[in-house]
Amino acid sequence: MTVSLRNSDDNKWVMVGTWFQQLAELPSAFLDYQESSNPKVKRILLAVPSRSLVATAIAWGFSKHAFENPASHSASFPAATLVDVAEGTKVRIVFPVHRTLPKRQIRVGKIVNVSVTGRLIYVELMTNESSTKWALLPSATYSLASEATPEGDYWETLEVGSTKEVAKRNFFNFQQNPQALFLTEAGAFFEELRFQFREPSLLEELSVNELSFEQANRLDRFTDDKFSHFINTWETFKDFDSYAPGLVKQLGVFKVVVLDGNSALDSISAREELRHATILGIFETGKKTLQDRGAKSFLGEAMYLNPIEGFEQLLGWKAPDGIRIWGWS
Amino acid sequence: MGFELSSLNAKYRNLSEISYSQNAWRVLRVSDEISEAAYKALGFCWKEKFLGADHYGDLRSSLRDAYVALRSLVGSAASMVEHLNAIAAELEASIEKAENFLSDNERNLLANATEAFREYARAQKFPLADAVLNELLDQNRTTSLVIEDALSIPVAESFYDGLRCYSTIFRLMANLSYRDQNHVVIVASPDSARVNLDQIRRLLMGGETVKVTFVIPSWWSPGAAKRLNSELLFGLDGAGANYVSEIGSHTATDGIPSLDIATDWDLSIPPRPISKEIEKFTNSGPVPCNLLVLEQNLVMPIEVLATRLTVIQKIGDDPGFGLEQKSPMDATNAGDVVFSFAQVSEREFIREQADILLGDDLEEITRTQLQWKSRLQSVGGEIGWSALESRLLEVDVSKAHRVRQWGMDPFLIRPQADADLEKLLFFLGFDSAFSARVFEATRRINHARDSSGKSARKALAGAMTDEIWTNLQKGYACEISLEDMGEATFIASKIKSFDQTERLAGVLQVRRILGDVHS
Repeated sequence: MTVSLRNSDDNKWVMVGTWFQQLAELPSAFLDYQESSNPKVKRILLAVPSRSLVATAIAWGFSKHAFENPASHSASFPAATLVDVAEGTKVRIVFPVHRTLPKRQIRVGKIVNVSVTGRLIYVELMTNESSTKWALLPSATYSLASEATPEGDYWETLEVGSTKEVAKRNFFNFQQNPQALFLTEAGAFFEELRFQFREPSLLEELSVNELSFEQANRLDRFTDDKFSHFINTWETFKDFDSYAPGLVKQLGVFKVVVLDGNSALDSISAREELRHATILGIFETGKKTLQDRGAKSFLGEAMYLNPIEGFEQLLGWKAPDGIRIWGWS
Repeated sequence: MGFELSSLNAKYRNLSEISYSQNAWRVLRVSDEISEAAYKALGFCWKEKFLGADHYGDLRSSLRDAYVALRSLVGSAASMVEHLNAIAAELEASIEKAENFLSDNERNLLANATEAFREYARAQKFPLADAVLNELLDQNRTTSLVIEDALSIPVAESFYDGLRCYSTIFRLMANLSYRDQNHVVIVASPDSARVNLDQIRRLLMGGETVKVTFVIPSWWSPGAAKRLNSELLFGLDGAGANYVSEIGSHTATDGIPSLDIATDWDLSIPPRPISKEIEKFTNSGPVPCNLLVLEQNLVMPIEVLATRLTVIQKIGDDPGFGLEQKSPMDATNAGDVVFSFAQVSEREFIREQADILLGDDLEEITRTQLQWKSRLQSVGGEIGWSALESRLLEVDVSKAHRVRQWGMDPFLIRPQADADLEKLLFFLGFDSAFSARVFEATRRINHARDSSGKSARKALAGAMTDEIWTNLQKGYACEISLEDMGEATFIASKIKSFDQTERLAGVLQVRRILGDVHS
């Protein structure tokens, strides 16, 4: 379905061309191929005229794919059973909805200590190296979270009601199914996330009028996790050194790491930390800066792998005119 | 919006048009027997190699102008004839000036070349110009012309009023509107030294054009389209990739000087190999070094423990350049470009410039420095440097082991720590008023050297051009003159590898670009 975007500073909706839709279909094609292929794809290079809206189109594709293909839900348990959970286990605690606030608190952290006094369950939780003690009512629930799940304290607007749309909206906002990590430049990418977004089928399904592009893409920042969903994550490649040690532990959960643009390719393609990840490089042919270095840095890593002949056809995906794709396994 | 969404859609529409076009990107070769004959005659002069000598500078330049005109001068016939005659006259004048140095054979070759060029100037028809005009009269698109020689833009503009004509792809790109269906006609081979592959990629694949045609004489740069096809997308689509088609008639290349000789004509390549002009690495001296191995048999010795190296980098989309600090290994891996002063060490140059900055105060500052340094020298000479070091340690001068350098090295400004300087001056018997003068003098020198270093580097970054950059990337070492910096000349070259074998280098050879001792 056609996507329209609008800069929040003006009122004109612009329908993006079919190229955008084709890019948004790449994640599904890639995930299907990845599931059936052996050996797996390790490197993908996408040559684009400009990186504008390319990474975000791909993020939208991943978000949509995750929404339409929900992974099995993690089992939810009553808070009272927390006493049986081992110390150091990461859990995602969902607090009961506040009476006056249409929001619910979600907290992700590691268990330090649990005790029960009367009706209350006291949990000491270590979240981002800060320990807090909480008294939970029996109606609170928790689920076991993977090691890679970002830790934090989230206040999510909770849709109240029992309709299918409400359930979908809540699922959309809280879904845990990590897809792609985007390592990019903050400026333009950040600006794109602020666009307002319309895609009729999604809006209809969620029964909302519009979303921000950030909401639709379900993109959260790696070093500043704001939302309780865990679908797509982004961070600036320039600060890679500072967050790389933490990232390495979580890389395995992402289906692909997107290096967005020539500068990102040049800076971090050859980083040891990314060597075993599946990388999708976005190479800009329309920007003369760092073309040679960016491409050579990426291809320097890809040369250790085997090129996949006819990759575009094998994906069952049609690249937009002016965009080319190559894969290595 | 940082970018307009509608412009992005328009770019993809343009790219779509290219996808459905048969010949969106072409190298159009134009046959012209007269220009080919003139090219051969000029090439034979070049082949003889006598033009390399210093006193043939003007002659070399005139021959080059003639050659460039043959391959790229286009415009109305009348305008072309006028311009070609001017070039021929200049060529004849240069030959006359060089008359006394020429052998009979050389004279004959030059006379033949001049006559062949005159023949071209007398021609009534100019097939290259006709082919260019034919492309420009594209009714369906907005056409623009790029020619490699900025001086011949007025001739090209004689084609018709309102022609959009540029001397570089970069300038063209700055003036293209994505809303137009642009057809760009370039009178240059895609692999000539003046055309940068990154720019071609941007021009062809950036979505701002729907058609690009390189129009060149059939005798120029055989195989240019094939080379472009293999390099445009880094060979990713294999040897059979055919993004750019080559059309037009080919003539036999028998008797045409080889491509190597042809590219020697290019303006941007130094007429003499740079390694002949510069000092060679002596492989001896007191400083343990590793060698950065550079293009064109050049090397740069850097201290064994060096952690930082300054490299030149291109910044952003604009034609801007800047300097960046990197580790030697990172710079090597990235194939970065290093630089140094051609004749003197950078330190020496910066000192000279700093002296200029100090102006009238230099004399007083030098006198103050001399005063405490000479007293230090005499005490050192009197009681011995090691005894002096012990005495200074007793009064808590922390870096007392450096006392000999403080006294004997005229370029070492002062002890780094304020406390050391203060205690040293007190030890030498100077009062606090003199001590204050020394602090001020050394502060001024440090400041002037910092400023001069920054200015020189800024000037270097400012003197860089896309053309120099292209040549550096192609593996040529380049000389860059800074007109406002005492006509200082930098040499810049790209790093090929990092030889970590320990060697010794002279103090004045460290961090300078030098000829390899084996070359």
